[in-house]
Amino acid sequence: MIVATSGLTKRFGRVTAVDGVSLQVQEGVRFGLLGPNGSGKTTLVRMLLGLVHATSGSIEVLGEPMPRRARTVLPRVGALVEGPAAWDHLSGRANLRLLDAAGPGRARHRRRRVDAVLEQVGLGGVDRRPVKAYSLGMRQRLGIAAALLREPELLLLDEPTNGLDPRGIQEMRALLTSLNEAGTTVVLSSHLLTEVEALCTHVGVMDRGRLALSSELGALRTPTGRVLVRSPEPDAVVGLLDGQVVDRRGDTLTVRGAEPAALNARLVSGGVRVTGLTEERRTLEQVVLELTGTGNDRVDRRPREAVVPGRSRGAGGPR
Amino acid sequence: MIGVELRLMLRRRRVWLCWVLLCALPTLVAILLATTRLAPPPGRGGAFLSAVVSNGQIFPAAALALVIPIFLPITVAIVAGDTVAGEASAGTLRYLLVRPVGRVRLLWAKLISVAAFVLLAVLFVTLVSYVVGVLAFGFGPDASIGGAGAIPSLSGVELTPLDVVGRTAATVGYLALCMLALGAVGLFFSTLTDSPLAATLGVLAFVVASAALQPLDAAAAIEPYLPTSHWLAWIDLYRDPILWTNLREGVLVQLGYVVIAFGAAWANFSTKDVTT
Amino acid sequence: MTAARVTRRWVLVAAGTAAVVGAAAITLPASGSDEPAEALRGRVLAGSPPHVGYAESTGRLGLPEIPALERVTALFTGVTQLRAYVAGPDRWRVDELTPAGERDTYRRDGREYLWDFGANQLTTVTGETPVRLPRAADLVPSELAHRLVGLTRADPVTSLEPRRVAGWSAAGFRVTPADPDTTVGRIDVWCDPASGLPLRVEVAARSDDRPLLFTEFLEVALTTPDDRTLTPAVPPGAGSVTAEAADLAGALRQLDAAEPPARLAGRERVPLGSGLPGVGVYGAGVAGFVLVPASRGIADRVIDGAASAGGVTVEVPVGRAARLSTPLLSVVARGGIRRGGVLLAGTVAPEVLEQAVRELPGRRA
Repeated sequence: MIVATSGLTKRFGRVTAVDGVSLQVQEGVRFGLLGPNGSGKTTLVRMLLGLVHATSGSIEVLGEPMPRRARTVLPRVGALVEGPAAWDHLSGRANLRLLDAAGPGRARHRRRRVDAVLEQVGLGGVDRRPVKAYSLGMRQRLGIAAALLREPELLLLDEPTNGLDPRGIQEMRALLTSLNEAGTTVVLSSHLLTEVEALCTHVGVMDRGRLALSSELGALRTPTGRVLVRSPEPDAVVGLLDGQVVDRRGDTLTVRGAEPAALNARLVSGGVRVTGLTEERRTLEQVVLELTGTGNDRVDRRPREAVVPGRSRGAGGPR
Repeated sequence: MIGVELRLMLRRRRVWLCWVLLCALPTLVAILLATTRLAPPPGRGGAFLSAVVSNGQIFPAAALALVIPIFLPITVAIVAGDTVAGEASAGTLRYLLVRPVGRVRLLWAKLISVAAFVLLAVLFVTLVSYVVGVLAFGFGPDASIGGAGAIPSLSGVELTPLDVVGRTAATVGYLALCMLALGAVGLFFSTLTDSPLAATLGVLAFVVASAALQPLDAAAAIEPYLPTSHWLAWIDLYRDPILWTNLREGVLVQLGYVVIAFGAAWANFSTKDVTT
Repeated sequence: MTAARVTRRWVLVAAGTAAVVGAAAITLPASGSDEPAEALRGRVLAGSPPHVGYAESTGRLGLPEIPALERVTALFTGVTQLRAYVAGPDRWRVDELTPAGERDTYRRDGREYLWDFGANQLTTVTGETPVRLPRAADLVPSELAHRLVGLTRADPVTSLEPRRVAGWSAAGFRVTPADPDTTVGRIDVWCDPASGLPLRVEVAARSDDRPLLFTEFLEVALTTPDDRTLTPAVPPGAGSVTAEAADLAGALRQLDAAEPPARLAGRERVPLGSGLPGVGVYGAGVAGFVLVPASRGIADRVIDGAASAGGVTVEVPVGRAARLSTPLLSVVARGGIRRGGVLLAGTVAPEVLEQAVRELPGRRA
């Protein structure tokens, strides 16, 4: 296990941000941590890095307890926490050099190391402009470059594609995949389902401080037992499979209680032309929405405060 | 880390602005004095200002006396208040800590950079005001031995050039220590909040409170422990023989402040949750 | 776990703070001395050994500013920082330290020299006067103790608890003036029992137990100051002037003043040498007072200022007069008549001075 927590809890005053999380991440995977805003993802990542101290529970990163062994663990971890940050008055290159010098390790090859990571994130040709003149995307790339310094074994990335355009997202995905293939474990948190779905092999879902689910992505997307049939003659299909069709949208029909091969044979034998036939799988979105409540950025009225028409006008009273 | 901190400080425009402003005030006073020749009578106005007109070499002492009560503490409050809170509000604190930089090492490096700032500030004021003073008022009367530019002590005894250099170095060191004590308090305040402005205002409130208590008879019992009580003791270096009593007490009190404030900063910051 | 660590660190810091503050505030207990008080007084009267020290004197007399005498009133109403280098009764130097300068008094070879940094001038004083204004050098503990104990030789003396002064274990004695007319309630002196060097002096009034004037060494050593320290210097560019002692008397100096009466308020005039016409000293010990002719301007300003400083008007046969009384020092001024202005001051009950001013003749001859 490259990351293992057990019963990890963090309370800020009366608010419980992380509640009894036992998370396991295997070496070599691409792990996506999903969850609505305020579900405790960021606090969890901060605890893994020793920035926030747990109220109770234990953490192991790279097989060593945190934050006690931060000195030996953290040099092997690259991190992007809640967006990039930099000394605004310095250039990106100066930022990385200072950050590299601040940590342990030798000064040798610093220039080459910095140039290499800038090249990796697509900032190889960056000039001496100070960071305050950078666009959001450039800052994001710089933040990822900082995480890549010193070739970490574990990358902990919080919202890594924030502020990037579609091409940038594509590049970043390719970069993270190639790093992962070279042996780096990648843990990223995001509230974007598509992002995680496109990149990760494993996924965890946080909800109101709890780890609601942790699983391999493939295992989540189980077949629903229904088959999607596309046909230019949908009426014929309905006629043939009377009662089995549960949904019909244009030329696409959802059929339940059938095995795809048998269904195909039955349709063909029935003389219905079929243009497509796929097994329906659950989408990640469905899984997540089933598991989680609303994020904490949505504030609903309590039932007894519900709007009563007419009363909002105030002085009028009942007529 | 110390090298990183020093490089960061030297590349901040705010730091240079502080230094420039610190040197600008005495320069302005020198220009006004030189053009009007209206020196305040002895015993009134700023310390040494009356003596400066006849001997420009004394001007560094007058310049230091000008900037010490308010100007210098303000710049120290700005720089020290920014140390940890500034990194926290910019978000760079979390990246330094995960690099990793040990929390104690980070505080230590911050203290060193504040020390470098105050030392350079006092040094710049001294050097600039010496040049300005000599340009505006000349070298003063000739020394009895060795020609131009005699510098008298407060007791009337003429100081040798070597003596002057030694005493000036001691003055710079002593004032830097006084300001470092304030800087250490600022460092502690800076670990309490994520807002550099709040930490800076906290330091200024500390200075103002101390200066307000200082002349009170009712506060006589704690007066020797107030940080501002010893800020003017460096003047004793220019008496002959040097009066060490207040200087020694000042050094001990200021060192006490450095140790206690740094300890408090350590106690607070070591287990603080970094949430910015 | 985290909470425990937080408190443990803070406990450590609090303990460190307590240790630092405690180390600064700690004072060793003073060891006693079985020397009788009378013997200690004898030591102090015999004079001080050579010493070098730094002293602070605090006056709480609450005197209003008297024009032309501001520097004198400051000695009795504020803190004066002093440095003393004493080689002997006729070879010493005392510096009055100000925030940005100093005024030094040197005495050697029967002459006095005054260096004033603010004025950038050294004044060489020739001649002597029998009476002069109080000055900072009088407040050095060794000097003040010697002077006050000398004035109260006949008064009863008792022992005081020893106390720690400037790191020395000092033995104390108290002189209680017996004269019913004096305002001085007690004079407390602590001195080094071995050498007899006075280290701390307190003077309190009869009406108030708190000391109104106290002075003590904060640092003192029984070393003989070197000759270089005792030699006044004139730096290049500074002025050097010579003045007669009587000229420095300032407000005391009234060339056309009349001979003071031989007797005032039941007290004989103490015979003085020449140099200060019109000045008279009446009575002995701490129950004495001094009569000083004042210019009309000064006398009038004191009388006008007295009203705002809590003084009261005194009925006099000619002119007008006012009284300023503090628990320790009483001052009466008379003015309003040409060439008849006087100031009376002393550590006596204000009634004595009032009686004296009424007995004064109306104008100078």
